[in-house]
Amino acid sequence: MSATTRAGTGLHPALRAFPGAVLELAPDGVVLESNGCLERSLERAVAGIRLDDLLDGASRAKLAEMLRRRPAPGEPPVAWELILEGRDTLSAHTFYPVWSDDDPGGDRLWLVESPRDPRFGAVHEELAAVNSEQASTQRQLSKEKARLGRALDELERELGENAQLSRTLQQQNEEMEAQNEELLAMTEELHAGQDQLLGLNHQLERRSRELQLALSARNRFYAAMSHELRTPINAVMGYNDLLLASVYGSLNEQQELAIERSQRAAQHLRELVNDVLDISRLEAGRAELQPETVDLGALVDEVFASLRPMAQAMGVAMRLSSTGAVTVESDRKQVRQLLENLVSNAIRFGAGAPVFVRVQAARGGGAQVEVVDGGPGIAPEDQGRIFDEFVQLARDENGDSTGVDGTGLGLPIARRVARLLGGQLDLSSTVGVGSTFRFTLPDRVAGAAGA
Amino acid sequence: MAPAEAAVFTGERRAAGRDDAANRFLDAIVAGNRRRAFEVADQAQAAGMDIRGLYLQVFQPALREIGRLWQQNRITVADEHLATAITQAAMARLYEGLFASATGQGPLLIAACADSERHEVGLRMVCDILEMEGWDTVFLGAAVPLPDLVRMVCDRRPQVVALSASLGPNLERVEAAIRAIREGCAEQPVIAVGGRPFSADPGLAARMGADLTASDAAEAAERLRERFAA
Repeated sequence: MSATTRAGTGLHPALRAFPGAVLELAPDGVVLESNGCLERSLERAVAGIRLDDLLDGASRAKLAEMLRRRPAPGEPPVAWELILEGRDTLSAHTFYPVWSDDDPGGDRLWLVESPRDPRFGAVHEELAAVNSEQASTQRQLSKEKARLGRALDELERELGENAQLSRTLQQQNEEMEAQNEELLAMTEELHAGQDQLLGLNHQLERRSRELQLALSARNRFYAAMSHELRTPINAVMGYNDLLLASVYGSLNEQQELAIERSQRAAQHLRELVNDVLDISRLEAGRAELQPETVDLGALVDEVFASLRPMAQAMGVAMRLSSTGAVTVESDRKQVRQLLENLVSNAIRFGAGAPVFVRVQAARGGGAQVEVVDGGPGIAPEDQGRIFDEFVQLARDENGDSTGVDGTGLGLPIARRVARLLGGQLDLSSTVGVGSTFRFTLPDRVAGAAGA
Repeated sequence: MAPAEAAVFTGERRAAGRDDAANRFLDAIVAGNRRRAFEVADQAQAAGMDIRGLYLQVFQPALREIGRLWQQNRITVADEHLATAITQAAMARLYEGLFASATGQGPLLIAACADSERHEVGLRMVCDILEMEGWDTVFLGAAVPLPDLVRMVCDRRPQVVALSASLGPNLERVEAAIRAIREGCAEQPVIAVGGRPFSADPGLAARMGADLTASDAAEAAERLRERFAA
């Protein structure tokens, strides 16, 4: 629609000077006339264009409503607010619509602005700015405050943690110090204990050395003495024999009795010396073994034969029980000595009861020999010391009254010999029933000697 | 506007089944009664409504209604300004509580409004709602000089830049801001735009080079949440 083909009715002179905008609109919204006020405010042309084109979107609907509505006569006028777009601005303007329907060119809508102090709008803008500024400041402050609060909480938490850590460290430190002191004390104790142990060790070594010296001295002494003693004993016995054989003239009964006693005493002395020699030889490790096949049954018979005079004299019977031929590879002389030792003991201390010797092959190889007597038996508390040197129970308990004699070295020697041969000598005994001395022998003795 | 007249609108809205607190708040801001508006907000909070509820169920509908009332020629621009100013003040009163519960650990959003101050309230709402959801938001307000905005975006490298314009002539400024950010910053943020022109023309945002748009604060928060849901 072109403005050139249309014309306004011409503004009344009074309206030209009106302080507010006055517009004459065709019913389709085209501006026909303006009093120039709006042009100044918007800095753009107004007449001849659709008012819509100057309006903000929301205001267009309002203008359409203004054009559509025709108030009834007498109805009080209602003001409408429109937002107009200037070259760079937007501004609100309040208009009173006035319809004139007596125009020759058709209906006209007059928009008469309700004038407003221009400062009014400026105050509004300023207030809005202040309000916004305040809200923004409040927003920023609250945000910072919250952030600071969180940082403070964090700091507090860290401080708390640090304090806790510090306490823990302190505690651990104290604990470690205490442990350290304890360790130091323990170390000192250990040092003291070590010193003591060292001292004891030295003492022990010294004692051991002394003992060794004493033992070897004793053994040397035994050996030397035995040799030195045997020579005069042999001389005594030789002269006794000559005397008893009446080489130096006949003896009367009293003299003969005296010489026989002297001879028995000399014999006992010689046995004693021999045993001492045996012991010292065994202890010095000088006993040399010569292994050969030994028939134990035959050997027992030989021993019986050699001891028969003694057994007969004491009225003691000797019996051998053997399960077939039992042989071992061993030192015949030593085994014989062992047997003689045990059997003569059984005869001597057996109280006249028969002596039994049982020979049997041992279950794991080797042999076992038992010498059983019917003597008074040995009390359990004495069974341990019977193998000690120079212990003779009967003599200890009854003095010399039983008439049995011995050196007190027989059983210690027997046990040493059994061990030398690789076996063992044990005793089982019941008081009032008798004693059984049992020794074992390996089927083959070790070639080398050793005590 | 006379209080009696505001009450008439209230009656209409009640018939439409609107929330009671929203109605009473609207009555208060239409009447320009700042004290009563604050009371309504306080009472709603005391009754158990949280800050997000106040924003979405009281402030936003009330402001939308204010715009409608102006379009119906029932209130004036002055009334609208006053109502908006009171609502802004009511929002500001909640900031203490809002930021105390916010973590600010989420994505960063920088918001700027191309209009004058009296149209910034919508964008402010978007920022506040996102802040409640754990975002870190910087609200620059109205009339930020363009070079300053671009420098800030380049420096702080936000995940989102939100721009708003309510009035047609200001769209140019939004377009210029988008262009400047696209050309000037090495790291490109998501650019969100909003305001009445974008709601009226759904294709406008894309034509101007923006990544997303929404018609109100709740929808904007929803869209951004979707986009940045880890």
